Amino acid sequence: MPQIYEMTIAGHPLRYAFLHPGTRFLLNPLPRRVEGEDCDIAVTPEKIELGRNFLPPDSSDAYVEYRCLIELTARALLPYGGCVFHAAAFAWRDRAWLLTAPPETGKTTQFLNWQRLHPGEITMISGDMPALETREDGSVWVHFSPWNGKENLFSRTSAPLGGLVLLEQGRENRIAPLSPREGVSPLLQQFMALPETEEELYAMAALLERMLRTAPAWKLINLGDDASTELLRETLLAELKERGEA
Amino acid sequence: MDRYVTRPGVVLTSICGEHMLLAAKAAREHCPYMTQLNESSAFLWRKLEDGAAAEDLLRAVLEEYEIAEPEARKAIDSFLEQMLQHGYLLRKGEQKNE
Repeated sequence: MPQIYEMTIAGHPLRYAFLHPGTRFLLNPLPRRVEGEDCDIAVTPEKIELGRNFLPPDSSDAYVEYRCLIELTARALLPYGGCVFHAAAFAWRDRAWLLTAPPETGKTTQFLNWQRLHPGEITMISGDMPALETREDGSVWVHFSPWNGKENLFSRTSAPLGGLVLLEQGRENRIAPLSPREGVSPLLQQFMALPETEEELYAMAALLERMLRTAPAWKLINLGDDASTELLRETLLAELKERGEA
Repeated sequence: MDRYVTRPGVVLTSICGEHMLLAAKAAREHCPYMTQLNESSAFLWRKLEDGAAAEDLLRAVLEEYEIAEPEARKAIDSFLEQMLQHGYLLRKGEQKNE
Protein backbone atom coordinates (compact mmCIF):
# COMPACT_ATOMS: atom_id res chain seq x y z
CA MET A 1 0.00 0.00 0.00
CA PRO A 2 1.58 3.33 -0.97
CA GLN A 3 2.21 5.97 1.65
CA ILE A 4 0.34 9.19 1.00
CA TYR A 5 1.83 12.64 1.50
CA GLU A 6 0.22 16.03 1.26
CA MET A 7 1.46 19.39 0.04
CA THR A 8 -0.58 22.58 -0.13
CA ILE A 9 0.16 24.28 -3.43
CA ALA A 10 -1.46 27.58 -4.41
CA GLY A 11 -3.90 27.14 -1.55
CA HIS A 12 -4.95 23.62 -2.53
CA PRO A 13 -4.01 20.55 -0.51
CA LEU A 14 -2.85 17.89 -2.99
CA ARG A 15 -2.16 14.27 -2.08
CA TYR A 16 0.81 12.47 -3.57
CA ALA A 17 1.92 8.82 -3.73
CA PHE A 18 5.64 8.66 -4.49
CA LEU A 19 7.17 5.83 -6.47
CA HIS A 20 10.66 6.37 -5.06
CA PRO A 21 11.30 6.97 -1.36
CA GLY A 22 13.92 9.66 -2.02
CA THR A 23 11.57 11.90 -4.00
CA ARG A 24 9.89 13.57 -1.08
CA PHE A 25 13.23 14.68 0.35
CA LEU A 26 13.86 16.69 -2.82
CA LEU A 27 10.69 18.66 -2.26
CA ASN A 28 10.94 21.81 -0.21
CA PRO A 29 9.00 22.25 2.04
CA LEU A 30 8.85 18.56 2.89
CA PRO A 31 5.44 16.96 2.22
CA ARG A 32 3.70 15.68 5.30
CA ARG A 33 2.46 12.13 5.75
CA VAL A 34 -1.34 11.73 5.90
CA GLU A 35 -3.71 8.84 6.47
CA GLY A 36 -5.62 7.15 3.66
CA GLU A 37 -4.94 5.55 0.32
CA ASP A 38 -6.43 8.03 -2.15
CA CYS A 39 -4.14 10.44 -3.92
CA ASP A 40 -4.43 13.17 -6.53
CA ILE A 41 -1.02 12.64 -8.04
CA ALA A 42 1.10 9.55 -8.69
CA VAL A 43 3.85 9.21 -11.27
CA THR A 44 3.75 5.96 -13.25
CA PRO A 45 6.93 4.03 -14.16
CA GLU A 46 6.10 4.75 -17.84
CA LYS A 47 6.03 8.49 -17.13
CA ILE A 48 9.41 8.20 -15.36
CA GLU A 49 10.95 6.52 -18.40
CA LEU A 50 9.49 9.21 -20.67
CA GLY A 51 10.64 12.00 -18.36
CA ARG A 52 14.17 10.56 -18.27
CA ASN A 53 14.57 11.42 -21.96
CA PHE A 54 14.46 15.13 -21.14
CA LEU A 55 16.96 15.04 -18.25
CA PRO A 56 20.71 14.42 -17.91
CA PRO A 57 21.45 10.68 -18.24
CA ASP A 58 22.84 10.41 -14.70
CA SER A 59 19.59 11.71 -13.10
CA SER A 60 18.42 9.55 -10.20
CA ASP A 61 14.98 7.90 -10.25
CA ALA A 62 13.92 10.20 -7.42
CA TYR A 63 15.02 13.30 -9.33
CA VAL A 64 13.18 12.19 -12.47
CA GLU A 65 10.03 11.62 -10.39
CA TYR A 66 10.52 15.03 -8.73
CA ARG A 67 10.57 16.66 -12.16
CA CYS A 68 7.58 14.63 -13.44
CA LEU A 69 5.55 15.86 -10.47
CA ILE A 70 5.69 19.43 -11.82
CA GLU A 71 3.55 18.68 -14.86
CA LEU A 72 1.11 16.51 -12.93
CA THR A 73 0.73 19.15 -10.22
CA ALA A 74 0.24 21.89 -12.82
CA ARG A 75 -2.57 19.86 -14.38
CA ALA A 76 -4.11 19.02 -11.02
CA LEU A 77 -4.42 22.75 -10.27
CA LEU A 78 -6.17 23.64 -13.55
CA PRO A 79 -9.72 22.70 -12.42
CA TYR A 80 -9.28 25.14 -9.51
CA GLY A 81 -8.14 27.98 -11.78
CA GLY A 82 -4.49 27.47 -10.86
CA CYS A 83 -1.33 26.16 -12.49
CA VAL A 84 2.45 26.03 -12.14
CA PHE A 85 4.09 28.68 -14.32
CA HIS A 86 7.68 28.87 -15.52
CA ALA A 87 8.98 32.21 -14.22
CA ALA A 88 10.98 33.86 -11.50
CA ALA A 89 8.42 35.44 -9.17
CA PHE A 90 9.31 38.10 -6.66
CA ALA A 91 7.33 40.22 -4.24
CA TRP A 92 7.77 43.99 -4.32
CA ARG A 93 5.50 46.63 -2.83
CA ASP A 94 2.80 44.09 -1.89
CA ARG A 95 2.58 42.70 -5.42
CA ALA A 96 4.02 39.69 -7.19
CA TRP A 97 5.94 40.21 -10.41
CA LEU A 98 6.66 37.43 -12.86
CA LEU A 99 9.81 37.41 -14.98
CA THR A 100 9.33 34.75 -17.59
CA ALA A 101 11.50 33.46 -20.41
CA PRO A 102 12.95 30.25 -21.77
CA PRO A 103 15.59 28.66 -19.47
CA GLU A 104 18.96 30.39 -19.18
CA THR A 105 17.61 33.74 -20.41
CA GLY A 106 18.49 35.71 -17.30
CA LYS A 107 15.44 35.58 -15.02
CA THR A 108 17.53 34.98 -11.93
CA THR A 109 20.12 37.53 -13.09
CA GLN A 110 17.49 40.27 -13.03
CA PHE A 111 16.43 39.25 -9.54
CA LEU A 112 20.02 39.14 -8.23
CA ASN A 113 20.85 42.49 -9.88
CA TRP A 114 17.83 44.10 -8.25
CA GLN A 115 18.66 42.63 -4.86
CA ARG A 116 22.21 43.99 -5.09
CA LEU A 117 21.21 47.42 -6.42
CA HIS A 118 18.32 47.93 -4.00
CA PRO A 119 19.00 45.72 -1.00
CA GLY A 120 15.99 44.57 0.98
CA GLU A 121 13.43 45.78 -1.56
CA ILE A 122 12.33 42.50 -3.05
CA THR A 123 11.68 38.97 -1.87
CA MET A 124 11.90 35.95 -4.12
CA ILE A 125 8.66 33.96 -4.10
CA SER A 126 9.91 31.25 -6.43
CA GLY A 127 13.09 31.23 -8.46
CA ASP A 128 11.72 29.05 -11.21
CA MET A 129 8.14 27.83 -10.94
CA PRO A 130 5.62 29.78 -8.93
CA ALA A 131 2.15 28.34 -8.44
CA LEU A 132 -0.76 30.52 -9.54
CA GLU A 133 -4.18 30.68 -7.96
CA THR A 134 -7.36 32.41 -9.13
CA ARG A 135 -9.41 33.61 -6.18
CA GLU A 136 -13.16 34.03 -6.02
CA ASP A 137 -12.87 37.79 -6.51
CA GLY A 138 -11.04 37.13 -9.80
CA SER A 139 -7.61 38.15 -8.54
CA VAL A 140 -4.60 36.01 -9.44
CA TRP A 141 -2.24 35.16 -6.60
CA VAL A 142 1.33 34.01 -6.88
CA HIS A 143 2.71 31.43 -4.43
CA PHE A 144 5.95 29.55 -3.95
CA SER A 145 6.15 25.93 -5.05
CA PRO A 146 8.48 23.03 -4.25
CA TRP A 147 10.27 23.57 -7.60
CA ASN A 148 12.57 26.55 -7.37
CA GLY A 149 15.36 26.08 -9.88
CA LYS A 150 18.99 25.27 -9.45
CA GLU A 151 19.58 28.16 -7.06
CA ASN A 152 16.62 26.96 -4.92
CA LEU A 153 15.49 30.53 -4.30
CA PHE A 154 12.08 30.72 -2.65
CA SER A 155 10.24 32.05 0.35
CA ARG A 156 6.90 31.22 1.91
CA THR A 157 5.40 34.37 0.49
CA SER A 158 2.29 34.96 -1.58
CA ALA A 159 1.07 38.12 -3.25
CA PRO A 160 -1.46 39.22 -5.85
CA LEU A 161 -0.11 39.45 -9.37
CA GLY A 162 1.28 42.90 -10.16
CA GLY A 163 2.62 42.34 -13.66
CA LEU A 164 4.39 40.03 -16.08
CA VAL A 165 7.63 40.59 -17.92
CA LEU A 166 8.73 38.48 -20.86
CA LEU A 167 12.51 38.57 -21.03
CA GLU A 168 14.55 38.32 -24.17
CA GLN A 169 18.30 38.65 -24.45
CA GLY A 170 19.41 41.35 -26.86
CA ARG A 171 22.12 43.81 -27.79
CA GLU A 172 20.44 46.71 -26.04
CA ASN A 173 18.05 47.37 -23.16
CA ARG A 174 14.52 48.15 -24.27
CA ILE A 175 11.17 47.66 -22.59
CA ALA A 176 7.72 48.02 -24.13
CA PRO A 177 4.19 46.89 -23.33
CA LEU A 178 3.59 43.30 -24.47
CA SER A 179 0.49 43.16 -26.64
CA PRO A 180 -1.75 40.08 -26.43
CA ARG A 181 -0.92 39.41 -30.11
CA GLU A 182 2.76 39.15 -29.29
CA GLY A 183 2.42 37.67 -25.82
CA VAL A 184 -0.28 35.04 -25.80
CA SER A 185 1.66 32.32 -27.56
CA PRO A 186 4.97 32.60 -25.62
CA LEU A 187 3.11 33.01 -22.33
CA LEU A 188 0.96 29.92 -22.92
CA GLN A 189 4.16 27.97 -23.40
CA GLN A 190 5.31 28.93 -19.92
CA PHE A 191 2.51 26.98 -18.25
CA MET A 192 3.96 23.74 -16.92
CA ALA A 193 0.78 21.79 -17.67
CA LEU A 194 0.45 19.86 -20.89
CA PRO A 195 -3.34 19.61 -20.92
CA GLU A 196 -4.81 16.23 -21.71
CA THR A 197 -8.45 17.23 -22.10
CA GLU A 198 -10.39 20.04 -23.69
CA GLU A 199 -11.53 21.18 -20.23
CA GLU A 200 -7.90 21.54 -19.16
CA LEU A 201 -7.11 23.55 -22.31
CA TYR A 202 -10.00 25.93 -21.63
CA ALA A 203 -8.93 26.25 -17.98
CA MET A 204 -5.37 27.16 -18.96
CA ALA A 205 -6.59 29.70 -21.53
CA ALA A 206 -8.97 31.20 -18.94
CA LEU A 207 -6.13 31.55 -16.45
CA LEU A 208 -3.91 33.39 -18.94
CA GLU A 209 -6.83 35.63 -19.91
CA ARG A 210 -7.38 36.40 -16.22
CA MET A 211 -3.67 37.17 -15.73
CA LEU A 212 -3.54 39.55 -18.70
CA ARG A 213 -6.79 41.28 -17.73
CA THR A 214 -5.60 41.68 -14.15
CA ALA A 215 -2.05 42.82 -14.70
CA PRO A 216 0.03 44.62 -17.31
CA ALA A 217 2.67 42.80 -19.33
CA TRP A 218 5.91 43.99 -20.87
CA LYS A 219 8.66 42.66 -23.03
CA LEU A 220 12.15 43.45 -21.79
CA ILE A 221 14.91 43.02 -24.33
CA ASN A 222 18.03 43.18 -22.23
CA LEU A 223 21.74 42.72 -21.78
CA GLY A 224 21.35 41.37 -18.26
CA ASP A 225 23.37 44.30 -16.89
CA ASP A 226 22.55 46.71 -14.06
CA ALA A 227 21.07 49.25 -16.49
CA SER A 228 18.51 46.70 -17.69
CA THR A 229 17.42 46.03 -14.12
CA GLU A 230 17.09 49.76 -13.40
CA LEU A 231 15.02 50.12 -16.56
CA LEU A 232 12.77 47.30 -15.37
CA ARG A 233 12.42 48.82 -11.90
CA GLU A 234 11.62 52.29 -13.27
CA THR A 235 8.96 50.81 -15.55
CA LEU A 236 7.28 48.88 -12.74
CA LEU A 237 7.51 51.89 -10.46
CA ALA A 238 5.84 54.11 -13.09
CA GLU A 239 3.07 51.51 -13.37
CA LEU A 240 2.52 51.55 -9.60
CA LYS A 241 2.49 55.36 -9.57
CA GLU A 242 -0.13 55.38 -12.33
CA ARG A 243 -2.26 53.02 -10.25
CA GLY A 244 -1.71 55.16 -7.19
CA GLU A 245 0.10 52.35 -5.40
CA ALA A 246 3.64 53.72 -5.33
CA MET B 1 -18.06 18.38 -52.59
CA ASP B 2 -15.34 18.12 -49.91
CA ARG B 3 -16.50 18.19 -46.32
CA TYR B 4 -14.19 18.77 -43.41
CA VAL B 5 -14.34 18.13 -39.69
CA THR B 6 -12.28 19.71 -36.96
CA ARG B 7 -10.06 17.20 -35.20
CA PRO B 8 -11.50 16.00 -31.88
CA GLY B 9 -9.49 17.43 -29.01
CA VAL B 10 -8.64 20.67 -30.84
CA VAL B 11 -10.31 23.75 -29.40
CA LEU B 12 -10.43 27.36 -30.49
CA THR B 13 -10.00 29.73 -27.58
CA SER B 14 -9.88 33.48 -27.41
CA ILE B 15 -7.43 35.05 -24.97
CA CYS B 16 -7.69 38.84 -24.76
CA GLY B 17 -9.03 38.85 -28.30
CA GLU B 18 -6.29 36.59 -29.68
CA HIS B 19 -7.49 33.35 -31.27
CA MET B 20 -5.56 30.22 -30.39
CA LEU B 21 -6.05 26.67 -31.56
CA LEU B 22 -4.98 24.37 -28.76
CA ALA B 23 -4.66 20.60 -29.00
CA ALA B 24 -5.38 18.17 -26.15
CA LYS B 25 -3.19 15.13 -25.60
CA ALA B 26 -4.72 12.68 -28.10
CA ALA B 27 -4.83 15.34 -30.82
CA ARG B 28 -1.18 16.33 -30.28
CA GLU B 29 -0.07 13.10 -31.94
CA HIS B 30 -1.42 14.55 -35.18
CA CYS B 31 -1.08 18.33 -34.93
CA PRO B 32 0.98 21.02 -33.15
CA TYR B 33 0.10 21.93 -29.56
CA MET B 34 -0.84 25.51 -30.40
CA THR B 35 -1.32 27.85 -33.32
CA GLN B 36 -2.41 31.46 -33.39
CA LEU B 37 -5.17 32.28 -35.87
CA ASN B 38 -6.15 35.63 -37.33
CA GLU B 39 -9.72 36.89 -37.19
CA SER B 40 -10.84 35.48 -40.54
CA SER B 41 -9.28 32.06 -39.91
CA ALA B 42 -11.04 31.90 -36.54
CA PHE B 43 -14.28 32.78 -38.34
CA LEU B 44 -13.78 29.90 -40.77
CA TRP B 45 -12.86 27.50 -37.95
CA ARG B 46 -16.08 28.32 -36.10
CA LYS B 47 -18.09 27.68 -39.26
CA LEU B 48 -16.40 24.30 -39.66
CA GLU B 49 -17.17 23.49 -36.02
CA ASP B 50 -20.81 24.17 -36.89
CA GLY B 51 -20.57 21.62 -39.70
CA ALA B 52 -20.16 23.94 -42.69
CA ALA B 53 -19.06 22.45 -46.04
CA ALA B 54 -16.58 24.22 -48.33
CA GLU B 55 -19.36 25.95 -50.28
CA ASP B 56 -21.01 27.10 -47.04
CA LEU B 57 -17.70 28.68 -46.08
CA LEU B 58 -17.63 30.66 -49.30
CA ARG B 59 -21.17 31.92 -48.74
CA ALA B 60 -20.40 32.85 -45.15
CA VAL B 61 -17.21 34.73 -46.07
CA LEU B 62 -18.96 36.68 -48.83
CA GLU B 63 -21.69 37.67 -46.39
CA GLU B 64 -19.30 38.62 -43.61
CA TYR B 65 -16.46 40.35 -45.47
CA GLU B 66 -16.31 42.77 -48.36
CA ILE B 67 -14.28 40.59 -50.65
CA ALA B 68 -14.52 39.39 -54.25
CA GLU B 69 -15.47 35.77 -54.79
CA PRO B 70 -12.21 34.62 -56.44
CA GLU B 71 -10.23 36.18 -53.62
CA ALA B 72 -12.48 34.59 -50.99
CA ARG B 73 -12.22 31.20 -52.65
CA LYS B 74 -8.44 31.48 -52.71
CA ALA B 75 -8.28 32.47 -49.03
CA ILE B 76 -10.57 29.59 -48.00
CA ASP B 77 -8.59 27.06 -50.04
CA SER B 78 -5.37 28.29 -48.47
CA PHE B 79 -6.85 28.07 -44.95
CA LEU B 80 -8.21 24.55 -45.52
CA GLU B 81 -4.95 23.37 -47.02
CA GLN B 82 -2.93 24.72 -44.09
CA MET B 83 -5.26 23.28 -41.48
CA LEU B 84 -5.26 19.89 -43.23
CA GLN B 85 -1.50 19.96 -43.58
CA HIS B 86 -0.99 20.70 -39.89
CA GLY B 87 -3.52 18.06 -38.87
CA TYR B 88 -6.08 20.35 -37.27
CA LEU B 89 -8.68 19.42 -39.89
CA LEU B 90 -9.74 16.09 -41.31
CA ARG B 91 -11.59 15.24 -44.47
CA LYS B 92 -14.89 13.73 -43.47
CA GLY B 93 -14.47 9.98 -43.02
CA GLU B 94 -10.70 10.28 -42.60
CA GLN B 95 -10.91 10.11 -38.82
CA LYS B 96 -12.09 6.48 -38.84
CA ASN B 97 -9.00 5.45 -40.77
CA GLU B 98 -6.53 6.83 -38.18
